[in-house]
Parts: sequence; C-alpha cells; structure tokens
Amino acid sequence: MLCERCGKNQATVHVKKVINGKETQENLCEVCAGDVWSFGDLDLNKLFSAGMGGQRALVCDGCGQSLAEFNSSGRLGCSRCYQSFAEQLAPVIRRFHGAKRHVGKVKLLSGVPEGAAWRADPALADKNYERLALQKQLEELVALEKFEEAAGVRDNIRRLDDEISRMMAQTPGGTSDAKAGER
Amino acid sequence: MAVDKITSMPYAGWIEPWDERQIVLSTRLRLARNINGRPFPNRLTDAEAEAVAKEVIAALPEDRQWHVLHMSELLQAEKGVLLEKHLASRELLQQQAGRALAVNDEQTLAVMINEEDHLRMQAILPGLQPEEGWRQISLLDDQLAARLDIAYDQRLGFLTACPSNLGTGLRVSVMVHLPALAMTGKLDAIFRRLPQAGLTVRGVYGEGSQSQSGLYQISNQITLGHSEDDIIAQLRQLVEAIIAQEVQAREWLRRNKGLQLADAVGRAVGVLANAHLLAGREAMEQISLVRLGVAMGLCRRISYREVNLLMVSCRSALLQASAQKELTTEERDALRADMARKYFGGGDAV
Repeated sequence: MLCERCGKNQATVHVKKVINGKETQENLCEVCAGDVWSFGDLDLNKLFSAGMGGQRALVCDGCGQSLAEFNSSGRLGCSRCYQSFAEQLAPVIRRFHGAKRHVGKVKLLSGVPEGAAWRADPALADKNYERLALQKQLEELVALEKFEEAAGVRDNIRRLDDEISRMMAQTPGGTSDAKAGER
Repeated sequence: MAVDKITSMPYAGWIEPWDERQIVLSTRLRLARNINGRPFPNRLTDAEAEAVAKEVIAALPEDRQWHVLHMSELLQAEKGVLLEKHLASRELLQQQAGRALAVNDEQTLAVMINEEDHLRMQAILPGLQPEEGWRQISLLDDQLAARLDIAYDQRLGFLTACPSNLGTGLRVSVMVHLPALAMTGKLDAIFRRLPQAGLTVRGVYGEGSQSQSGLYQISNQITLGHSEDDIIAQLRQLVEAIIAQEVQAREWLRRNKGLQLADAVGRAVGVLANAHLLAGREAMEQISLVRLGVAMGLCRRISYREVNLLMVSCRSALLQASAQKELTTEERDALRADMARKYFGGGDAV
C-alpha cells in the first residue's frame, strides 16, 4: 500500500483517529507521518509526566540526565544539573542541609593571594565569584576578537580588583595566608 | 615494593598513638570536588573516566611522593586491605575503568579518583586533630585547584554528584573507642542527641551501636551553610564531651566494678595470648577489652601501638594478603590466633 498523502512511499504507519465517536484511518509513509506527529523528537517522558501532576520531564542540557533518574538514584549527572533542576533541587537541599547558601572556603582565583578572608567573608566570596565570571567573559570576548567589548570588561575587572584589595585590607588576616590554617 | 607496602602491610600512619587518653584513634577528613564541564563519574564512559583519571594524576602536587594504584590492576585481596585501612571505599574498589587511588608515601593523604565524585581527597591522622587535618587537606585542595577547573557555584559552593555533599564537600570523621560507655549502657542516649547537632554515628567493624570492637565513627552530615572551621569546631566540642563521659564511665567502672573489670581484661589477655583459633568477631571483642585494660593500667603486657596494630592486622583481608593465598575460615582463624599470640610474646607457649 502506498502512502495516502504523498502517494510515493510505502505506507507503514496507520493512524487511527476517533473524533466524536467517528473512526477514521489514514495510511501514511514514515515521512508524512513525521509531519503529523513529529515522531523524531516526541518525548514520551515529557508527555507522561505532563499528565501526572503537571511537572515536565526535565532533562539536563549538560549531560542528558533526566530528573527522574536523579529521583531514583539520588545522584546528579554533572555540575550543570544544579542549574537545570534548580527549582526541583532547592527544597531537597533545604530539607537535607537546612540552609540555602554556601559558607566557607570559596573557589580561588588564580593570581589572587590565598587568604583566610576568602573563606570567612561572604561579601568577599561574592566579589571573588563576580570576578571569576568576568574573567570568563573576557576570555570568550577575546576568543571572538571582540576587543572593544573586551576592553570594557577588563576595566570592570580592574575596578573589582581595587574593590577586593580594599576589602581585603580591612579584613583581619586578609592580606596574608599566614592565618589560613589556624583556628 | 613501595606499592606493596600500601596493599599488604598493616601499618598506616594513624596507628601511632597520639595522646595519653587514647580514646580517639584517628581523625579522617574527606573533601569532595569535581572538574567543571565533565559528567560526574556515574555518567562517564570508560574512555572519559580514564581521561579524567589522567588529568587528576597529572595535577597531583610534586612536593610529595604519590603512589598511584589503578583499580583494574589490583587483586581482590589487595583491595580488601585498602578498604580495611580506610584508604579506599567499597564503591571505588568495585569499579574498574579510570578508577584509581593516589596515596602519599606516609599513607596519610589519599585521593580517590572517579569514586562518586571526580576527586575525593582524604587526610588520615592519629588522634583528635581535625584542625591539622583540615590544614593539610585544604592545602592539597589548593594545589589541585591551581591545575584543575573545579566545579563551583556562588550559592551552592562546591558542586558534588550527590546534593548531600554540597557546599564545603567536607566530611570529618573521628574514630573513638568507647568500651566503658558501651558496658554501662550509656551509648544509646548519647548517640540519640547527635543528629540534632548535624552529626551521625556508626559502629566500626560491626552494626549500629552494637560495634564488637567498641569503636565508633562520629562524623558531620551537613556540608552546606556551615564553614569548615565551624564544622570542625562543633565536631570537636561534641567529641570532647563524649571523651569526658567515657573517662567518667571508666572511673565508675574502676570504683564499682573493679574486680569484674580486671577479670574481664585478664581473661581477654588469656584468650589472645593462648588461643589457637580466633574468629574475627571474638578477636575484636577481646582486643577492645585489652585496649581498655592498657588505658586503665590493668594490662602492661602490650603497648597502645601494638594493640592498634593488632586490631588492624587481625582483619581478614590483611591476613589473606599476608598469607598470599586464599585461606579457608579455619586457616584464617588459626593465622589470626598465631598473630595475637606473637603480640603477647607467646609464640607457641601455652
């Protein structure tokens, strides 16, 4: 049997529709059937969980792990999952730790002296993180040869560096790493 | 030869006695870290896992000598030794491709590669020294972070495969010997209060509060929202309180059950010095009593260092490794008894 739409290919998909009790059947090839249903990216998971409780079946764009997989294994697939499932993870994290925000040692910038201040002061940690993001942005812009924009970002980094040095000077133990291991 | 030392010999740095009370045997700190932009180990293909392992091994700091053990190259008996020495976890040992363990020459620092997280750094020290442990492990962390792009989020801290380790990624565990509290039935009440402080406890070489060896591991459970210094300070405070209670319980036993205690310790020495077949469980119970006896001046035939060493040497996997062949249960029990007799200077004396 040939496809009833294009009349060219073999009909391999038989679509039965029941509308107001009236049954119709269409015999289509895979290509035409694809137009109707887009089988290619039909995500059954998405459909099913949309029906149940209205939560979409989320998949992390970093590693392809689904939220359902996390729910059954308790483990995430990559660091990006924390963004992909941020909304769903927030109550889980809250319940377990009783807190929402990290306090303590932060990721250090290369080239910035290591010191106790980075670990203890959340405001400094924020600045540190901000600088980290700008640094990344700068590298990307340079790679894309957008030098004018890059210069702007570099100026921002310099301003931030000044601010960080001022804050570190005011924090006890902030200027040297001598106290990092004490206490 | 150097690697042999790690997978067959019983000695590990933390066996050295630390303070005269000897209630805390060891402090272990574990730090979880991941590399940015790579799937966590449970989602890595074998080839990707091997690439991660290569990257981590290349990033190990040169200021110490590292021995790298690849799980795919280890014998079952050797894996058992790593587990009993607390150098590697069961999860790491069960896997193969790209799973590795780097240990420093003193066996006080270890990095598990591609366990639950890409990096699980560990520091093991004798006695109650969480501050010194943190200094060491944090330095190693800084050294590795200078060469690896570590996954981090401003709000959530260091990102881990399981959200239960988020934030600092730090787990501090203290191994304590509490035989007197166990004998006087006070443990349950103490342990029940720990979860409120964000701490958890489990028996070592045994289940729950029924540890045969009188050894318990106390560790922090919460890693997000408290700084490393706070986690350490809180744990220290509670462990110190438990130590004080154990000391009290020992005093109470000395005053009220002195004869029974001396009898129990004497009998334990008798068993260890003279038995020819010694099951693992029995050995642990008797060693625990002898250890208490040494602490209370009721037994002078053996030193702390020897008791600690005996405790580790008696474990099945180490016996297996030292025999260099598969042993039957009876052969193992005989070998264990031989070892115990040697520690009491007995040899074949009856």
